[in-house]
Amino acid sequence: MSQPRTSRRAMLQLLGLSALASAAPRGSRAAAQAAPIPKRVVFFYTNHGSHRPAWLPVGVGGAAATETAFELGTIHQPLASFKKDLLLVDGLDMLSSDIQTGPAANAHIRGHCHSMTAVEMADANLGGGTSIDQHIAQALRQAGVLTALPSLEIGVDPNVESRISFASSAQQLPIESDPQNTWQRLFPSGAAASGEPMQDKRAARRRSVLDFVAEDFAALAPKLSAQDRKKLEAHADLVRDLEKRMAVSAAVSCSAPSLADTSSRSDYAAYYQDTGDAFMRLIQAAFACDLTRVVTFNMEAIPDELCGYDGRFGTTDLHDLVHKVAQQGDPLATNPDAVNTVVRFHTEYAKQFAKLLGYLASIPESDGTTALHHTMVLWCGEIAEGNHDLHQLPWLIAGQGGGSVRTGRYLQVPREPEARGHNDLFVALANAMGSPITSFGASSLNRGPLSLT
Amino acid sequence: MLPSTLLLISLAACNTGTIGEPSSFDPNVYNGIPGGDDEPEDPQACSDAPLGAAAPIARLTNTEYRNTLRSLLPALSLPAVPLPADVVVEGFDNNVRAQTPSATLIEQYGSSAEAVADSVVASLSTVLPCSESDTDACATTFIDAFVTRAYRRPLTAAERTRYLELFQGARSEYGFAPAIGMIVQAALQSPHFLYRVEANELAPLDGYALASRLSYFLWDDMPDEELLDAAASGMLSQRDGVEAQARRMLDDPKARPAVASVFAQWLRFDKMADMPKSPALFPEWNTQVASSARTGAARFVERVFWEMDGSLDALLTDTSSFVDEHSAPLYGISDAVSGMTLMETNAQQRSGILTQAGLLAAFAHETADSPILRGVFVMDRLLCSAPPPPPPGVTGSIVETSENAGMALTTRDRVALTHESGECASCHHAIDGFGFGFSHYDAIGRWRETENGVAVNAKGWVDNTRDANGAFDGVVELGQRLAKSAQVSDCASSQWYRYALGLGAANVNSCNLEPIAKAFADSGGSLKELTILIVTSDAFRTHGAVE
Repeated sequence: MSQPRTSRRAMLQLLGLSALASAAPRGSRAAAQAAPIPKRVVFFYTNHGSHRPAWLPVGVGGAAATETAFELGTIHQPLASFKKDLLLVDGLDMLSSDIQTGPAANAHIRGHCHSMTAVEMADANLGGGTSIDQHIAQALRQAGVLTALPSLEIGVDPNVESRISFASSAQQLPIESDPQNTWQRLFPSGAAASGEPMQDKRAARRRSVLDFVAEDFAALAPKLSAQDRKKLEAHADLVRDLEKRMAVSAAVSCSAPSLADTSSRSDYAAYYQDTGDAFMRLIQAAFACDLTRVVTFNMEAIPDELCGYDGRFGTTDLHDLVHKVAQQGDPLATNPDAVNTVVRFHTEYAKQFAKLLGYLASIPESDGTTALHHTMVLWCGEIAEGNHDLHQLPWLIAGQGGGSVRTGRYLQVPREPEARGHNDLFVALANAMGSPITSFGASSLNRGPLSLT
Repeated sequence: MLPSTLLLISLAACNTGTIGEPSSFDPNVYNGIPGGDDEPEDPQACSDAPLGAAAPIARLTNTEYRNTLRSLLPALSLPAVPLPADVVVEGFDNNVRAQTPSATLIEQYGSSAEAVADSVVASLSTVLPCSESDTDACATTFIDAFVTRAYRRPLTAAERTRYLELFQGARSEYGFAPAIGMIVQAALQSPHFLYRVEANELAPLDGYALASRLSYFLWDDMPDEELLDAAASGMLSQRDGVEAQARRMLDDPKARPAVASVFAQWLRFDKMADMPKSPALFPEWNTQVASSARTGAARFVERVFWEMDGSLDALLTDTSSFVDEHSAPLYGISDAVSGMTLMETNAQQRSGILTQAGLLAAFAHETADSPILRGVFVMDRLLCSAPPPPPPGVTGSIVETSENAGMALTTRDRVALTHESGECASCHHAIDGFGFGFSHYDAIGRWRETENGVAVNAKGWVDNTRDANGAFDGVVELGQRLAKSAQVSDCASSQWYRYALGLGAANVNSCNLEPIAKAFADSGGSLKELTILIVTSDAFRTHGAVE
């Protein structure tokens, strides 16, 4: 079992007390050095793919972009200061969608369901397998890694149709959209009680009750049909897991960030940015305190104002504009103002992404690096282009995953003799996180892990 | 093929089979057809055997959970608990196959149970059915009173003993009051509280399980004393007894929000939650207008159900609307109104739910109305024949041609240019046929005679239905057509039946549904009677065999 660590300096920085942080006693740093630095993974999720011409890196001095000699494209300009931490992964397809025989409720739901599961859908609405984030969370748990939370699924105003994380086939996990609730989960003892383990008696009562409840589930199981038993076993497993995780929560002494109230939506652009910021600070705190190692973070609902969209193109909404700009033959596809608006849409997402990387890069680690070095942040989404295409995914990884990813590169995955599926990327991510799988999602689509080094 | 299409086809096929009269149902006699789900039955198999709905075990929805806590402890003020949202499938939040337990959910159940236990401990004297004396007898009385209600059935002797042992162990460790709290904390996390546990056999439900099915369908809440008494007395083993209880329950105020919730989920009122409109194009629109339009639609269905006997015909054709000072302009009403008021509207413009401004605005874009969203709504929610989604790579761009360059286009023109020809037409011809009928209503649900200076053309057509095909002009006429359609009637039966049992469209046994749909149509289409038909059906009262 891993030891929960406290990064006091990081937490003080969160609280704006960085001067104190630098004066932190050497002893506490030395103690932290003894613990291995955990690897973490974040799935940063945005919608509508990208605009490929502005996503692609450009070559240096008029030459074609190569693996190491390239400049970031327009959309990635906000990430310029992180260029050395990026691995642009160009050329993977959502092949699992190509082999799907049944219908999907719509093209976005199709993409959502395939994006993290890489397998045929369970039905028109739900993913057909365990999503990569949940696979990694489950694998960590099986390997004995016990954190206060197995994973976080969070998002700013996520669309009800954004079905991303699946515990198993058709078992969609909810996305939490209120940072206050996530705060409560991460810091159940409250900010005031930070550093204090939960009242011993209360914790003991909780454990007795969970024990009692687990027995209830066990006694009921034989009386159920196989299908019902499966449903309740998933519940019972989580009850037992909660019992175990309680010990971790009680042992972590870690300060909680103070969050502003972001619940008002009267100014939606402010709501989006403030809520996103609050979630990023929670991710930062969760990683600094090792409260979880797997995060799925959906930022898809970017407001029109931030992209400079005001309906001037006669499209029904921003979504419609993104589609039309990506549609060959549509007048808007060659309208510079329309194209720029779509590029700005994606560039705004890049700004959010850069902000998250900044938070991770501000967590110092005992080996002299930062948490970003020990994390893999995959920027992914439900489609590749606004025209609903699911090929040549515009994805990238930030962070080195503790040495699992060689960054500062533009990886062009060969599309000949056949394109590779995002299954291969997920196998590589899972391997980097310690899960020794050789296949993920639809087995027929696996060609071996994508080399990230 | 879409599940909903499958259902209709199998439903139609069922019509050719031999259907047992509902009254021939004898809960004690079985001759053997398991009520499996997923598979459409061979029509010949729709015989007189009781089938039972093979509903997998249901967990309380968030609404049911919160209501149940309130009913269990009415004297206490309970803390709000942020539960993760229920997964919505095909519009409904209670699909038993999509109820994934997440770590968050389990934690929240734990926090909630602890918070409720704290409240109980803090007001012990109001909760305890005995004097606050530190005795096993008092604890046993509390277990019998509280856990029995939490489980919605009598406890077995073994269960009672387990709770008493939990109490005794806790009392020696923490004292009397915390030990009582732990009984509460445990009961509220038990599967017998969080789930509706039913015996796993093809058999009539026992009275208590049926009482829970009834109360969670009609009330979104636990059974009350009278319903539990009816379960105990055997009254619920008789169809008449179930009907009497159901009618009593519908007369109880608790049925109001529950029925409102069925309508809201069936008719996708969630789409009205947030209706942003372009301020440049619709300066009249704001959150207050949106809220009034939303409330008006909710009041409309409420009136249909409670004051018009749930008439499906009225739902689709009634010409009154609830408006207030904010929404009156949307309806072209210039009379001074203050507060939500029932007003007669222009019957040439407004008739039935499809002409409610809130719904029209919800099924529209920020800058324009949408024949497609509106057409799909009618097909999906009222005809149970949702079209398949567009294939990947399709965006709905209008390809500029020499004919349309520079033209002032109406929404209808745009849609027609986009996909009334070519490969898209195969599906869109059906969708647009409905959608074009809505051309008189703009993106905020107002009536218009012209659009971009062009006279509105609201001529539409209905294709590929069992009995509603043909041309029509405007939604008033469409609503009247749909009100007479057996396909619409059967679809309503299907939607309410699915909600009653938490089933997805693909998981409905058509042989179970068919007699209900037929009786609903025969009853003249009263949705209120439909709820009675559902709860008194063989399917609702029988547990199906689940593999």
